[in-house]
Formats: sequence, C-alpha cells, structure tokens
Amino acid sequence: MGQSTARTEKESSVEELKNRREWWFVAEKTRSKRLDYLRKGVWKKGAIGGNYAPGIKIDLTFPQLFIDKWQEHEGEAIMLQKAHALAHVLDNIPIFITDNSQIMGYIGSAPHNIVWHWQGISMVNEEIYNEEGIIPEPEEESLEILANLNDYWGGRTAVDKLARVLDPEDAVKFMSGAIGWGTPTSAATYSTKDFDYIFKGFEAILAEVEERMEETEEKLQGNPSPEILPLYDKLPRWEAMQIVLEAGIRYAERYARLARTLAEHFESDPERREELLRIAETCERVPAKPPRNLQESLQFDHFVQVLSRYETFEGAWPHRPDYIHGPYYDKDVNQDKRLSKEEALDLVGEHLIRTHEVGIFAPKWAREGLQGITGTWVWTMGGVKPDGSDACNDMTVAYMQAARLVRVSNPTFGFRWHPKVKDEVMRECFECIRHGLGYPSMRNDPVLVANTVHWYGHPVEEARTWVHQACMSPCPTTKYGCQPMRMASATANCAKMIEYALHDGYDPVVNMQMGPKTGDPREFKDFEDLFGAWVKQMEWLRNILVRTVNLGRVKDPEFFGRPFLSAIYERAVETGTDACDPSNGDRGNAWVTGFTWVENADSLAAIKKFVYDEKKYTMDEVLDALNANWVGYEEMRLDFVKNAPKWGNDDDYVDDLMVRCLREVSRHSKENRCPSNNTWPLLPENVSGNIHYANLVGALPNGRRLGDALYDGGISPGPGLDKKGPTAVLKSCGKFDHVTDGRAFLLNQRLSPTQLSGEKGYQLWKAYMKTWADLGLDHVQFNMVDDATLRAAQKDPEKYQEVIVRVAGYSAHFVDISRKTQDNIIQRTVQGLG
Amino acid sequence: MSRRDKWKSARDAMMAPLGKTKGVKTRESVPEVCCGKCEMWFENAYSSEGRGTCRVLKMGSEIHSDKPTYVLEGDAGLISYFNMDASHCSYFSKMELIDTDGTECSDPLFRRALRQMKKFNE
Amino acid sequence: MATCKDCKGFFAREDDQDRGDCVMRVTDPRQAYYKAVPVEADKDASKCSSFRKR
Repeated sequence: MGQSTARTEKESSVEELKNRREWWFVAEKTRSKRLDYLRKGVWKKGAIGGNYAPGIKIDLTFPQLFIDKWQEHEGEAIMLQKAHALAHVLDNIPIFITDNSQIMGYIGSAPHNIVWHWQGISMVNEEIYNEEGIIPEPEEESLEILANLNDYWGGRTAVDKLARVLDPEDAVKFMSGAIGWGTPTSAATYSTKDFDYIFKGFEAILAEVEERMEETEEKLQGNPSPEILPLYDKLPRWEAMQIVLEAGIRYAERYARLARTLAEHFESDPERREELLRIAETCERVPAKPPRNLQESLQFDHFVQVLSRYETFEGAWPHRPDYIHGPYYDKDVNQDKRLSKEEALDLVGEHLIRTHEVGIFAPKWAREGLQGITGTWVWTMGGVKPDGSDACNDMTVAYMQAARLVRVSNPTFGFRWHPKVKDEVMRECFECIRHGLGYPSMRNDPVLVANTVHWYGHPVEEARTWVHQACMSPCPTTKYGCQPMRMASATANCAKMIEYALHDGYDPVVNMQMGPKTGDPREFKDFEDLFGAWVKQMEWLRNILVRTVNLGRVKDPEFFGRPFLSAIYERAVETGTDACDPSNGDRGNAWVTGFTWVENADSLAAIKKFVYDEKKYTMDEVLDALNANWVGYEEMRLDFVKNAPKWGNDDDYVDDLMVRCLREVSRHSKENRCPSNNTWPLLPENVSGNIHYANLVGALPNGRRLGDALYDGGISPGPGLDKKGPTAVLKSCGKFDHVTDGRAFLLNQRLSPTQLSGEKGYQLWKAYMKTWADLGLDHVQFNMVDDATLRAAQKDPEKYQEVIVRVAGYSAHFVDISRKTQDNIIQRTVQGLG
Repeated sequence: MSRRDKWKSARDAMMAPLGKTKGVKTRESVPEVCCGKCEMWFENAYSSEGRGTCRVLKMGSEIHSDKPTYVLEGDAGLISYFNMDASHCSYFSKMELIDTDGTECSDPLFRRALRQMKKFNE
Repeated sequence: MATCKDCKGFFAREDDQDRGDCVMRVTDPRQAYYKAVPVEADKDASKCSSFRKR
C-alpha cells in the first residue's frame, strides 16, 4: 500500500488523500506557503534512535561566551556570577531571522546547532567530547576547545559537587543507572511558569526588584540585629535578577534592530518589509512591557522560554498556551478584526514550529528514553478557569488545527477534559487523534483537580490552573503552586522491585548488592513472604531516589543558581531568594515517575498462581529459569506468558494484586517527604524507558527475557496481552482510585483508523470516552495509524517523514525511533470499539 | 572498614577522572586492548561518556600493573572506563561490537558509539 | 587595514557608533536566514572571508 500511494500523492487531490487517510500529505497540501517553508526548514533536533541526525552540531559559541564572564566574576555569589555570564551570552550570541518567520528567538548561534550547559554535569560534558558526529568542523580545533572547557568544569559542576555531599553508597547506587535516571540538579529540569505575573513585563518586575533592594538597604543601615544578617545575601540575588532581566530586554532589542536593518537595507518585497517592521515593533515592546496583541503575546512567551533555556536545560515545557494567549486571539480576530483567522493560524503554527526547533544536547540515556524528541514538551489545553467554568476558547481550536497542519512531534498536547467541554472542541481533539498525531492525550480534569488537592493541599481554585509539569503530572501555575525544579531523577525503574525481591536485593546485571537483603525466595513459606520482600525493595528503591533528589533540590541554589527563573518567580522576587530555594513558600508538588511498573503485577501474579496456588512449578525452578534468562526453558516461559493472569483483562486475580501494590506505594508516598514537607506520590509512565531499560532489567516471571522490550508503560497492559477488548482494559484500570492511589496513570491504547472513520467513528470514540470518564480514569492516549502504514514507513522512511506515533507520554515521528521501539508500537493490540 | 569508607572508594573511582586536566591527548588515547572492547564490561546507563562496571571483578581489583590484583567478592563491581588499558587483565575477553553506529539501542550486548572507538570499526 | 565599519555588512548602533551588527545572509541545506553578530566598528576585518568593501 505504502509505496504505490506515496508515489501518487503529488497528483492526488486533497479529498483523495483524505479518503486514503494520508494525513501527512493532506497537511503538506493545505498549509500556507509560509508554514510549509518554516516546517520544512526545521533541523531535526530529536535523536534518531540513539544518534543525532546528520548536520546537527554542538554549539561552541555559547559555552565560550559563558565561561569568559564566569571566570571574570569568580568568587561572587553564584547567582550573580551566573547572571553576568548569561548577560554576556545574550548580548553577544549570534542571532538570526529565518525567511518568512514572524516569531523570534533561538537557543544557540545557528539553526542546526544544539546547546548544552557546561555548568551542570561533567559526565555529560565528557560525553559531548566523545560523541560521534556533532563536533563542528574543523574537528581538531573544536576538540581542543571542548577539552579546555571540560578540564575547567571537571569537579566544578552542580552534579560533581552534589556527588561529594551525597552518602557515598547512595551516590554509587544512584549513578549505577540501574534503578532510575535523571540528574538531581536544576541543570536539567523543568519549571512551571506563572504568566499572569510574567506578562506584567520585565520593566515592572525590575521596578519591584529595585523597590525591594531599597527597602533592604535601608534596613541594613539601621539597628544591628540577627534579623538583618540574612539580608546581606539577598542583595546580590536581586542584583542578579536585575542583570538578567535587563539582558533579556536587550536580547529582544537585538532582534528589533536586525529586523529594522533588514526592512531598510535588504528586503525588496513590500509585504515582507511590513512584516519585518512589525517584528521590530514587537521586539521593542516585549518582554519589556506587557503584550497588547497576539503576536506580542506569542513573542513574549517565546522569549521567556528561550531565555529560560539559555539558563538551563528545561527538558519539559509546562504550559497552557490557549489559556494564556486566548484573550489576545479574541481581541485581534473577533473584536478588532486586526488579524484574519488564517493569519492567526500562521502565527499559531509558527509558535509550534519555533518550539519544535529548540535543540538541547541530551545524553545518550535520555536520547534512548526519549527517542525522536528533545524533551517532553506537553502543552496543556482546555480545562477550567479558577471558578470552575469552561476555559476552552478559540485558541484551543486554533492550536488543534495548526497541529494538524504542521505535524510536529514536539510540543504535543494534553487536553483537560471535563463534562462542560463543547462538542465542537471534542471534535477538534478527535480530528488530531484521527490524523494520527497521537495527541492530545485526554486527561480527566475533575479527577486530576481532586488529585492535586488530595496529594499536596493546593487550594481548589489554584489546582484548577494546572498544567502538565512534564508528560503527565499536574502542577498549578500560581505564586506558591509553581514548581521551579522538577527533578527528573526521581524516576524509578520499577521492574527492579520484583527483580530484587527475587534476588535477595542483588542486581546481577550491574554486579552490585543494590537493595536490602530480603532473603532467598526458595526459603519463602508463602506468597505473603514474597510480597513482603517486594514491599521492602519498593521502599528502598523509592527512598534512595527521593533522598538524592531532596538533597539536590536544597543544594541547587548553592551549586547551580537560577537568576532568570528567580526573576520571573513572584515569590523569589518578593523574598530575594533563588526560585529553587524551597524555603520561599513552595508548597511542594513532587512525584516519583514509575517506569516499567506493570511488570510487577504480572510477575507477582504468575508466581502466586504457578508456584503457590497451583504448585505447578517450584520457586527453585522459576529462579533457575530466570538465572538462565529462560534459555533452555522455552516451554515453561511460554506457559508464563500465555497462561499466567495478565493485567488489563478485567481479571480480579491479577488486578487485585495491582491494586494492592499501588496501595502499598500510596502509603509509602506519604511517608516520603519533599523539602517542603509534602508527599511523593507515584506516577506510572514510561516515555521510551521500556526500550532504554531493556538491557538493564533481567529476566522476569512474566516471561520476559533480558534485552526484550519492557511493557510500554504506565498502567498500559503488556503489548498484545490485553485480549478481552477495550472495555476490559478500562475496567481493570478503573479498579483503583485515580485520586488517592497515585499521582496519575498513563494508558496507551491503539485504535483502528478504518473503524473510526467518518461521523460513526467519532460517535464510537465519544461513547468510549464516556465509559473512560465514568470509570474515573485520569488519562488515555491513542495511536491511530494502521500496521500497513507503519510497516511501509519502516521500509521506506524517506517517504513517511511526517508520520507520527504516540510512544508513551510523548509523540515522535515514527522514522526517528529505533527499530525495537517501532516494533513495540506495532505489537500493541489494536482495540475494536463498540 | 566502615560502610561509608567501603562505598567511598567506589564513589571516588566513579568521580576520579573529574577535576583532572586531561587535554586532548589523554582523551583521544584508546589502547588496543581496553575495557570498552571486553564482554565482561558493562557500560553504565546513568552516564554515557564511557564509564562502566566489570561483570566479574569487584571494587579493590587493580588491573594496570604487571601483577594485577583480582577481587571477586564484594558489594560493588569494579568501575572502569571504555578506554582503560586491559592488556594485563586475565579476565579480558574480546567481544564483537554489534552496535557500531548507535542508531539502534539497548541490545543486551551493546556499546555506545563513542567517537574514539570508531577506529576499531574500520 | 580594513575594519568592520568599512564593510557593507556592518550596521552601526544608533546609541553607540563604535559598535554595530555584522549582518550576513546564510543559506543552509534547509533554510535561508539573516544572521547578526555584534562587532566593534574598528575590529580588524582583513582576514574576514565575508568582508565586502563599502
């Protein structure tokens, strides 16, 4: 099918392409010339499998500019030292304006460059040096620069400093790579942003900072007392905020100057000249002052995101752009008629493209775990206003329509469904899914608002402002609700819980005694002994991750420093603290991401049934088979795969175990406390960690061998193991409480594009969504691309560059993920509805 | 030896290369017989710059001298680097490099495609 | 000695004539764009491959 249709796409009409559901060709034919140019102009920044695409280079201008000023200000408070370095970068980094573009700002000195922050992690700095393909020409010269940078930063980075403070046992086990991933520093993190505050404009914030400094200086001139002593440390922090805010304004003015120069000296097309002058006017206005129209609000937003990423690797993009920009769209398009819908769609489409093109070097483990993308940039759409009324607006619809035109894999959308969402908006969501984008993921807003209140005590009005902090976890965008630093290292490789319970805490893969010694399973009397060992291993694994991350959080202001983020955080501006300092009123919104979770329930169920209930096999036989990686035990392995109960089939035998495991974790989540003394609930989801961890998790009793892909994650059943239909999957997932039993629960489902075509298809999907909502599930996302297309794309990737699939908490272009991940997606059960 | 001291030596081995001036020459040097080519060496998944653990030897082992010391019992595996000289190690066992370009990922026996290892693929 | 200010690609800043932007047209394999790099007006441009005499 693939090759013949691909050959004829040029002669086919849009209608014919729609009938053949070749949505990527439909997009190409229906988007504006501007969007087509900009979309095709983007350099692919996500890795293809584990490698960067040809032509992508690491940016060496950025770290060299940074270190120049950093060394000059050595000895100053870290936030101030960093502010000077960042300002120097923003004043001097080459900037560019791409033909046809209207939104400015890029992280790096050229469109094919990716950046990294040398101040974060030495190991990654060394990886860049060792990396094939990304070293700019002339290679010899670049290697010299890199070696000098790495020699300077070695031992001085945030993680190097943290490793010296951590308990050495925790440090070694954490960095073994077996039990979790991530970096306990805000050098690689993501932050929620309060645009109600930020859109006051940088000049207004600067005035506020100035006022605070004057008040403080006055106190310092007064009566000596212990109370005034901490104030001495606040002044350099406020000064740092001033430096970066002023540099941010100058950075925007550089674009204004370039746009004017181009309009006056280079551009002959009057229409483009007009656009360039509008760009200049926009960049002179924002971020210094509040935005007045859609272009200014989008531009302000993008500048803030770019400036944040000059400061650090923000690997996610917590955002609610329809809510933020909706009023400006309404004013420009509906009220003032300043923009036509098509012109607005061009801006919105470009907003997606400008975000998609951001590239930041990711270490190999992150590239494998997030194949095809730079970070999990899940934008939040829909939902409710603080008073509980429907927040969907014309911008919600515009983003959905633009997404179908530009078909980027990043950002993706998570849609906050609630009972008051209008049918026209639901149809837009469905169209995106039907077009095979894999997004929006559907989120149950009432459940998640209640969940946000339950776990952290956020007031309900604040909880209603939530955005996806990363792929899945809601976080309010309010003064005390915003989370400045989500520490990706609280990400657990949960399959190790059952693996360690079966190996007395020893990890045969990394040759290390990892967990506590919970005993030889051959000596266990009954299933309860095994379950008790599992609980101990679960607690140990979570404890070590949470301990490490908590320490990273409190040490971050000392080891890394966030002048820009602090300058846009109201509570940091008010208190003269680093945004990441948990003492400034942060309410806490921490969670442990649970990779490879369902393997626990399926493995426990298999042993319970075959060893303890039916006594079909002895524990000795099971352990021998696992230690042999099932080699020589194929018949037994298939018995465990086919005949042991599996999650997702509405089978109480295994479902009850899943619920029991979740309740144990939920109990322990309240015992773990974050630096703000709040809870650490579990959030099962995987990104493509199921592939990354394939060679790190040994053989398991669900029949999986070392090296086999793990399940695709969250609470999704194992690929091909959910045999009782979509309602059975939903019923299994509805057996626990999505408010109190954890933070959120990812569910992947594959649907048939043929069955869901036309109006009938929409009605079937809507009925499915009603069941989903009635059962109280918090999340579901869909792949709706047929096997034939995916197989054709495997054979002929060049012709299927814009085919997108939902991997886990994110979408990727199918051709950008490794063969193993591609096969894993094809293996997922296609559910027939109705 | 206290628990802390025992793990401290493993932590120090993990962090040891940092803070040393190495320049280009040291970083480019990869011996013909090195840990990165041994099937007993397992690359660390936390970091991807070429650190790893030996599947056989434990911390306290020393493989660089003419008379290596092998420790086979203990809680932590020997931490080493892809470009560490393994010519004196009697446990060295050359493996086939099956993931030489790095596009595919996560096979049980894989090696990340470090630039300096490229010369062995040619 | 040729300096940046003698080049057609140099545009002095209104607020400071001693500094300005070096503006260049770049066409890469995927897109075309104008690039600006801040430079000193009196910077030696004798070895600059993009120098175009004003």
